[in-house]
Amino acid sequence: MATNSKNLGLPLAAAAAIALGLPAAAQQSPQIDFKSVGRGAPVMVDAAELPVLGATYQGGPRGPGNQGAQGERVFIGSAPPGQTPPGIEPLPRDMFTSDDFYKDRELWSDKRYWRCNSTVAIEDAWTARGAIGDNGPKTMGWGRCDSDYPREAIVSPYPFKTAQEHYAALLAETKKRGGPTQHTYATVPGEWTGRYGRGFGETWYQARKMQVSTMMSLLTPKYQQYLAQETYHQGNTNVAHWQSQYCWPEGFMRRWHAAAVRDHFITVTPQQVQIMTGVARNFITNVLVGREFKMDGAVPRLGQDVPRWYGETIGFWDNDTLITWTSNVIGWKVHAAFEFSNKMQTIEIYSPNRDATGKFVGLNHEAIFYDEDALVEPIRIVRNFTKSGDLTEDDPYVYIECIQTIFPVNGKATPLTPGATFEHEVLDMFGRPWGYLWQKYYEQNMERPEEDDIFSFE
Amino acid sequence: MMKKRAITSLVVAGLLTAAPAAAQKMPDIGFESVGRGRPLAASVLDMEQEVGPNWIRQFGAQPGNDPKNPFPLNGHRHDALPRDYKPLPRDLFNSPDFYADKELWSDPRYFRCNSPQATEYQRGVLARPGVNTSDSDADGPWGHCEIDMPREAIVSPYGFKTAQEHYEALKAETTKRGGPDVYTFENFPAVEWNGVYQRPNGAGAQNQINWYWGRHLQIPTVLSVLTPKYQQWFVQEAYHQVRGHAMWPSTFCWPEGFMRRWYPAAVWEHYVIATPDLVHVRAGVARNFIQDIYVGREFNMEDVANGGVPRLGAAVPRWYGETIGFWDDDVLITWTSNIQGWKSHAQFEFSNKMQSIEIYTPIRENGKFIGLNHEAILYDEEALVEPVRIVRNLHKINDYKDENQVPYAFIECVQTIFSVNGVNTPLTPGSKIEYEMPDMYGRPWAKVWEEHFEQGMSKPDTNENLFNFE
Repeated sequence: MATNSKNLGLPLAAAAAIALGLPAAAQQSPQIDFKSVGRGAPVMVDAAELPVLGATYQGGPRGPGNQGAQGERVFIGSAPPGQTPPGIEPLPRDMFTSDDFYKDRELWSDKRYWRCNSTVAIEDAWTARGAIGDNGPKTMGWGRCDSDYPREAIVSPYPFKTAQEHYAALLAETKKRGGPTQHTYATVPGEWTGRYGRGFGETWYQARKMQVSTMMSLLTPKYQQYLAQETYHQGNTNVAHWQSQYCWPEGFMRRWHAAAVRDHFITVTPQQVQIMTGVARNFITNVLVGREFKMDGAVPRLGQDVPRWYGETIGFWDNDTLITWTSNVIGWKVHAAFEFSNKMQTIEIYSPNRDATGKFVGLNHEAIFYDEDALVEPIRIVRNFTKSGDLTEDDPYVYIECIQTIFPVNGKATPLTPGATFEHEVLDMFGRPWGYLWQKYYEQNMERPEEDDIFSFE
Repeated sequence: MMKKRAITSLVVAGLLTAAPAAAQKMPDIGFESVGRGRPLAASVLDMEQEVGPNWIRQFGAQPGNDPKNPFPLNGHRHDALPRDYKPLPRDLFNSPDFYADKELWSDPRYFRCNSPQATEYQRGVLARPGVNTSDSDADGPWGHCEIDMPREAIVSPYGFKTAQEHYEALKAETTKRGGPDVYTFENFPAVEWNGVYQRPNGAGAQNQINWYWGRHLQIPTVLSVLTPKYQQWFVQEAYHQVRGHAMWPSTFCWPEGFMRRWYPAAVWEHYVIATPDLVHVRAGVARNFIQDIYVGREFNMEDVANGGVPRLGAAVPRWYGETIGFWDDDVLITWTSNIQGWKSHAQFEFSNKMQSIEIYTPIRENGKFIGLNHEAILYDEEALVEPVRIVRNLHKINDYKDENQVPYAFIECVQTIFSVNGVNTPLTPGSKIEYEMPDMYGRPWAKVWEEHFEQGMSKPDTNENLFNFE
């Protein structure tokens, strides 16, 4: 499929955002004083400038960000539960009425199949802020159909087909500029060492402002199916399987998901830059400066030919900019976003952000994702970390050891207290255990196409 | 009081002869400190033999044809004891109720002179085949009763009662010496610390092996540093391990816990990142151990008067604690507190009161940095009757830029072994079991033992829970 999403052209709101968003976008883009072959391209649309799609509720006694308050509960979207938005012709069959989403593949690229909801709104559907209505899922409300985060602003603005090409081009460019810079302790930007606040600016990947069909358009057919499967079960059968619920690894891509990380703790030395963050699990990125990947395995790697949950990362300095390449990642999932494969690789660039006086205030983090199995073309996420303090102040990083209290009982996440017993089935952790649970308990009568196992060793 | 009368003289002899060599195990810090750098009273490196019993085998060696004697035994079969070994009528191996034997726990013979680690060899829970090749647990072989690490070499040689006292004394000493040193990236003296340090097993053993590995001492010697409750817990584990019922946290992807940092099988290479404000030490095999030393920070002491512990963040214990430190020239002196009490198998459990003073001192050869001496003094008023000390030398093997340096593989444990009717059972995907949700803050390992293997025993009704909130 299906780069030809049926979101014909850019929606008005998105187009307006591109036009109006340039100043904001310029703030979100890295500060770079030359035109690079592979970094620093402006962000086309600042996600913060776009409206939340919904359908969801904000405010009110149980509303998001307003728990306990007595304010008015406000619906966000184009039609509250049980209603249809004006000017929109609903599909006869959509994810909220379908008994078999596999049969509806041709409809996945139509935003109406998802009732113009974002993946996050669908994930929230059955919660206090959700718009599932009194007779869910059929009464699920509609998100805004006139808005979207444009696909053009998601895909990589650079021409490279692979992370290797991209990294090589950036290295060549840096050499032309007199680099890579070989830092010592006296010259390395030690001011980076410190704590960076939780907010890092909204990105498209937070998925509150993007149609599901637009996310679909980024994916290969198999990964579209995986996304459709999760979206269907989160919104229709009300059965979520989030990895952190079960103390499973979060997986590489959750680093970019706002709910999976809090403060980022960065430690800089000339040989290595370390980034630690997490909420339910730990994300640790170790950028080994000056190293080179071995190229004789399944994917580029530093250590053994065994994928690592958070990959392995090399990098080099171009003055005070750190350019990195991550590979050897374990394929996994992200809820309310797409799954990814062992082929996932990233080029990530950390550039200092400075205020008008030249003072270091944080880091621009530009990441370009390559995954030939999951993505039809590379994509990009840009965010900004604001330094909130040195490591000499405030709470230390809490290293997380997850203690499981929620188990899939008969295929549904169930909180249990000590002493409770249930029949526990050991899951194949490298065979999409979440997919297995959905298929076994909630897809008995569906016609699932035969597929390869992305984690198969054959 | 220990009842090791028969072996005391041998131990004393060992202590005397060990003294000169022991002095080499600590770096020469150039002055006599109030609380660091004291020579070891004895070192396991000076002991020619392990307590056992264990098979004498080279790594990777395959068993011989005789299943009863697959390798030579370091120790003694129960039916072939030296003439001067006088077995007790009732011991850990034949007792139906170890709780009832409390009076015997201080006699090495109760444990058949097994070392702590040997309790994991008996039934092959650490390495197969087990040294007990009989179907009967009561046939467990003996270790060497004449070998032991003197208690004096385990307990802290410093006079401090608390980690706070110790840290403050070291800081006062450093202040007198013109410190603590405050560094910037421009004048940082520990640049060479960055890199990877030898794993404890294999070649690293000669630099890191210490009493805590549990190979060179008798179980009563360990018990002698524990409070009664923690003695009971130690014996409980030993009792079940010699019957093959080990409950190791990592088996089930539970956290390893703070003290396993010092256990050779729990860590491999140590990865150190050093900056003026933060020194990061990471290691692990089944789980990750991360120590972040916040240099120049001070603990929040507001809970201490009410029975709480020093902390940096919220008043919630952390699995690996929180650590502050300061520099005395190129020596890093640290204090860790706010630790989650837990267990360490073949070693003692510890409480939320556990705190450590750890000193990282550069080791140099002809002026060249070759590694770090890591001296740790452990304080735990609930578990320990007095502080204990562990010393090891971490030798550096790689810079991060070295081509052969393998990056740290951050560990995410995927559980494949489950406790089925109290027995650790590897299961394949699709297997189904009745799973009982453990109370992770109520000694879940003990719950399994008590439920499945202690029926009819006279467990004292202490009604105490290490983790209770009352």
